Amino acid sequence: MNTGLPDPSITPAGAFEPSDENLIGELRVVLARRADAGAAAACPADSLIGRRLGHYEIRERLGEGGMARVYRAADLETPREVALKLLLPEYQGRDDVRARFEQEALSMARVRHDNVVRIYDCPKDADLTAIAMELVSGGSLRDLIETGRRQSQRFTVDAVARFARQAALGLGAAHRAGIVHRDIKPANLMLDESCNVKVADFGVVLALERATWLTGLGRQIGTPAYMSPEQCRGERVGPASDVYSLGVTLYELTTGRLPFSEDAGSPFAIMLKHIHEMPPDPRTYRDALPKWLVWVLLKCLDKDPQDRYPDGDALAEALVTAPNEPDLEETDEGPKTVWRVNPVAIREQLKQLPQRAIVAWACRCARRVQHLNTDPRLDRSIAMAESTAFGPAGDASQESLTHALQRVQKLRTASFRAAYTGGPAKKQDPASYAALAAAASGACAAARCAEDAAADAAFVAQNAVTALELAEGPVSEFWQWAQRDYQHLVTAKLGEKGTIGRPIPPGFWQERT
Amino acid sequence: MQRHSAFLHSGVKLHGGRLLFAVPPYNALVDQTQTSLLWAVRDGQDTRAWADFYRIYAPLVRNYTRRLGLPDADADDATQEILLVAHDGLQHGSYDPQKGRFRAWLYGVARKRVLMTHRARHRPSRAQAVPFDTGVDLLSSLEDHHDEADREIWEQEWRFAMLDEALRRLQGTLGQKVYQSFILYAIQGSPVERVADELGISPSSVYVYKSRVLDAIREWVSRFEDDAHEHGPA
Repeated sequence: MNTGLPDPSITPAGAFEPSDENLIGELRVVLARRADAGAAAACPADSLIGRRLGHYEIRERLGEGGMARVYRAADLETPREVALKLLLPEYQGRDDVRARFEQEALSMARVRHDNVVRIYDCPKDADLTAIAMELVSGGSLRDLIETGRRQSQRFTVDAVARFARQAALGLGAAHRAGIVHRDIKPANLMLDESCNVKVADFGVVLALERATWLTGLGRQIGTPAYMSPEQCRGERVGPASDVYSLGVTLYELTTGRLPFSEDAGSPFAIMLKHIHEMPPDPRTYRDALPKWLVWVLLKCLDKDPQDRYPDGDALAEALVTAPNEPDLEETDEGPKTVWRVNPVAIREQLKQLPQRAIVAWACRCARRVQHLNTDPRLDRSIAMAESTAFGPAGDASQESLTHALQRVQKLRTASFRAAYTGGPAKKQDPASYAALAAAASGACAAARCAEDAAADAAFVAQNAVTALELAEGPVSEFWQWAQRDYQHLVTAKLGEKGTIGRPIPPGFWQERT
Repeated sequence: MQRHSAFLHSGVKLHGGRLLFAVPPYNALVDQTQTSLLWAVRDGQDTRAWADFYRIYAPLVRNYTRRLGLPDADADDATQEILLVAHDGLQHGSYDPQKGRFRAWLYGVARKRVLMTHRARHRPSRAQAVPFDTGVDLLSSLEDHHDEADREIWEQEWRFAMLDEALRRLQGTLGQKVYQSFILYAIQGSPVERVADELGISPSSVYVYKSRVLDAIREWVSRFEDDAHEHGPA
């Protein structure tokens, strides 16, 4: 029996000996999870899940477009996951379409750019041809637009410019390689986890266009709402056609509306508008747009390809230079104000204040952002803190402060955590969690003693500003109120003029433009 | 000793005359241990080993990262990266079996990655907002505070992953009736008589099968992980 091996029985540390009940309970969880996962995967009754294709194993369906389905797949040679794009079954049967698909994808594989989804290779077998590409996790601009629409929010000019420039750079890289995308639209502009744009689906459209022309499958190519006039007319298209489609996308990002929308009735009517009608000035849908952006947008949307930016690179460059061009410089919006709290100044100032002044001020801060979060616990906590701050002198005992502290501490910790992680179930947006955190730490500050509370008050102030900015709330109004409160508190309410009755020093609230 | 029968058929790798570890035959499906799996992944020859590795540990890591509050997309990314680190660790030796179990090592890797994500997301803006130390303290205190809870989550997910794999592997070897009887009676809670009736077995068999499956699961899980500590790939 001497195998020359150590006897494993001398290390019983890992023995797995749960009771029957515990074991069965956990097995129930495991099996229930399996059923859930099974239900999710089986929902589109997809026979391809689990199938091998080349050195990939298909894992999960991610989405479906007009011509192809995208799956998440595992690379069995290197430990990574990829997005695997498979032609729809109706196309898989045609060898000529498959050959084109592969050929165009491989030509795209030459383009390597940070703003273009990488193509790895084209795995295939007797039945299927696919394109393996970089798995991009942040959804698409389409998702972002929908989210914004649901929350009645619009992208800031800076955000639009950033997306525009990245998309244009990605397009430019392809244009330099002689490749035209032909189907630029928000759904094809993917986002990575840092919200950088990656242009997807190059070449697929052209492959299909050629193939359908060859084979007479006659499927609609392109997406009418984003098609250039020349594309609508069925003419030869070049890089400037992509610039037009990107222009439509940016128009939508900026205004939340398409220049030629669905109320035209039919796809054909939209195409006619692309050919004949001028796009409405974006300022009719959103005022206070900088002039340069309007100018860039309308130049992208010019009917004549000759009068647009010739390719992606030119557009990217224009997005950098246009804001500084003297003719386009002044905007209707006025300079954008960014509010930043100067925490050191706030802390220094608040150190001078008696505890109750800070408590009161923190409560005001909390109340200002409270509407962003309707958690009833928040209201109770703030109310308790307020009663300590504004109530009769005897009530502000150490005991009641300690009690309040305990109550709000939990809420604050929980809400910070939620604000960091986006919440347990994404029921609320980060802004409202930030607001909850801000308000709760305001209430928390209210319950603490002076020096600690000064730090907390600065923190709550910054949190409030961040929350308001995220929610596109009126920051300047908030500060006006806060300043008035502060002055009110330090000069009148507490009657300790000897130490605190001084005006707000410059730099207390910083304004950066 | 029957438990360790896999070792009787195993190869022994010698390195400089020193016994390094045992390599049970990878293909022995039920007898496979974590050691042999990790070895096979490290070896890189058998693509099924990576597939098995992925099947067992990816859901574990993913569930863990999600329960620590990462949104789905982030959890997917984190899972991929953590498994990549694990793979590299196995191949290039940054996982040292002498220093601890694979379970503990993977926990360290996973937790670090999750904290990194949380930090990357919140630190810059908070550092900007509150450039004095309260913000940092607050975050570290959150981290400390949740260490125990995180470990508990990990241990639980680890058990779930092991049980899932145990069921998958034992289902075939136990026999269909034994497995079905167990599912119906122990998991779904059907009355003994009905289970016995449905499967055409005696009521006492239902009880016997239940404890047989539970024992088999306990034994499988113990064995799968137990030897990994001592003989995992170095």
